[in-house]
Amino acid sequence: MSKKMIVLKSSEGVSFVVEEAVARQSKIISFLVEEFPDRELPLTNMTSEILRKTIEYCKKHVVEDDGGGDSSSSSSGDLKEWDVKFVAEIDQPRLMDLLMAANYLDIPSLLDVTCQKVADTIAACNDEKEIRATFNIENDFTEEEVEAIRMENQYPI
Amino acid sequence: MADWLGRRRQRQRRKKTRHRKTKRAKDVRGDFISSMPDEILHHILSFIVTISAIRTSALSRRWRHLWRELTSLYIHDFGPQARGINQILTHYTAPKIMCFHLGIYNDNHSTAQINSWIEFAMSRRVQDLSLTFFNHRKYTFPDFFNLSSSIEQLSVKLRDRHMIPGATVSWESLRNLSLRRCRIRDESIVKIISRCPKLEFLALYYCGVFNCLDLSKSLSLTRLEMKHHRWGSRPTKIIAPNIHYLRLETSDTCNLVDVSSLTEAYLDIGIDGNFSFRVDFLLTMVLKMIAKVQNVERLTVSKTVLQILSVAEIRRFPFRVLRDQTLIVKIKFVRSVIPGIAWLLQNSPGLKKLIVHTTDKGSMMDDEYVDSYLDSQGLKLDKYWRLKYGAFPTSCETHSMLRSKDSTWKLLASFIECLLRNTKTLEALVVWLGGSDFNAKWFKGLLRMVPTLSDNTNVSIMLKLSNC
Repeated sequence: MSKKMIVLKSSEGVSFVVEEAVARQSKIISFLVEEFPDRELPLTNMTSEILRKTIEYCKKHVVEDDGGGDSSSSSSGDLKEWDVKFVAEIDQPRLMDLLMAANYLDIPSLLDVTCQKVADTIAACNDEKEIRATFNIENDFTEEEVEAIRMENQYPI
Repeated sequence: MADWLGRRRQRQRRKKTRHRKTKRAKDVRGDFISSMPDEILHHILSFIVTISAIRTSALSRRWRHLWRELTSLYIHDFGPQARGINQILTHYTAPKIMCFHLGIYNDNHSTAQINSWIEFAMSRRVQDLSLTFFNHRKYTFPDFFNLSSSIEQLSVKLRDRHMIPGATVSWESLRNLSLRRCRIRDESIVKIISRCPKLEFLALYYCGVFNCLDLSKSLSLTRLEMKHHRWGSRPTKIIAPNIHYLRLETSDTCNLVDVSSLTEAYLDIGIDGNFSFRVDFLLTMVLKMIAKVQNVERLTVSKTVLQILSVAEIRRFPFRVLRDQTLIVKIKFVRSVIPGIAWLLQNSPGLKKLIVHTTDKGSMMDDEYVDSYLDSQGLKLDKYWRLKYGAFPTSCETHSMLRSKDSTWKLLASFIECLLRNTKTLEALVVWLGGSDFNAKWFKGLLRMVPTLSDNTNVSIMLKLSNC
């Protein structure tokens, strides 16, 4: 039985041919496939690089789910480890793009792993200066304001 | 812990190096994270403890009040003390809490204080409530805790103390209840369950020994997980005619009186060290459990269960027909588990799919204990092992046998051949290779050799690489 394929097109106009089951992990694509069968789906706000990464994630997850592991088997444990590696290898700007892609395409599990990675990075910073430097966040507070907030955040230990 | 921290720092150092490399690209994008919508930033902050999320309020005006609208709060008392927790909750402004986790590790909070935190979450119609009391001996739950129409998931972890529900328990939206180390009486658990009309999942981990767990009146409850490791007392009777899924980890007899709707079961025995003197007892127990789950479609068994079933195979215990279509076994390539798999395969005449996980996880007996037991039964072991399972190593030999790719392949091929010899109906075999004895760098080589096995069989054979 041949698998049904669909075509996704990136913002640069590059076409990606993907198995429908793989792409259907995105709720948006799932909806679009039903509404417009046999048509190329243009994803104008996604670069080829990010689309390729998203497809890599979806492929891994669709194949592994098919492996027949139950919820507590090592296959799901493996998948978690794979997810951790997957996001660890992506640099921060691309991680942000991937996060937004997961949000746009509505792929909850990918949104969770990318958000988790960003959250872990925030938690690993020693202070707010380090968070700002890591994420290039513009500080629009005066020094006095920052000090006041810091005092407010000094919860009795 | 130190090792973990070291690795984490190393990772951070690496991250910083990369960070410098990509600085230009980031500068062009500017402050991208702050331009994300509130919902996404909330989602990000919901993955860390609240005290860490609060630090972001000093980043910029964009972040100033973000944490106050989080729908998930993770509060524990090994950072802020009681006064700190009270301040955090005063600053918090979201009208509804989805998820509230409270971890109490100190013994010095008053009951009224703890009650006020739980009340805070409940007054904001919390859906997912998780309470951990690590060391608080004096605490008992207040009456208002027993009445909620909003809680859908409740997890309570105590330290071997009694959890006594009041007379008025009513958790009308509760779907998922998980209790760990809550000493709870038979009549209490029955009372709780009877007042949760929507309960679908119940987990009881190390909650002491019940005489009888009667779930027959709970029609919606379809999934049950139980772990308990006490033995020497009376067996727990489980009457659960409505459950579809059962995961049972026990070292004691569980009398599965009625599990007639079961479609999926996961059986495990928790043992450590020398249990050869208990093998007879465990064998009777496992055979009884297997008999009770013989109609499930999907059966998972652990290494220890397989070791016990190996005894059944070697002693040629009478066959019992299992109706499983999917069988999942957790193994190591150790001689003492192989006859157990053979026994299950011979007794599963309708089996279509077999999934093998080679893993370090979970306990198992040393081979020598199984051997010494069989020896005590007067079985001529040397002859038996050589004849039927000579290709498989004992637990001491496994590591050296898996030292090269060729010897790993030889062992894997004998294993798969042994499986195929014992089944006639199998359509698919999936073998997950993992565990500390297996060297992942040989995986691709092994994968290329699989087609040589498929030549003489119609079974589709798949190898997969596992990290466990």
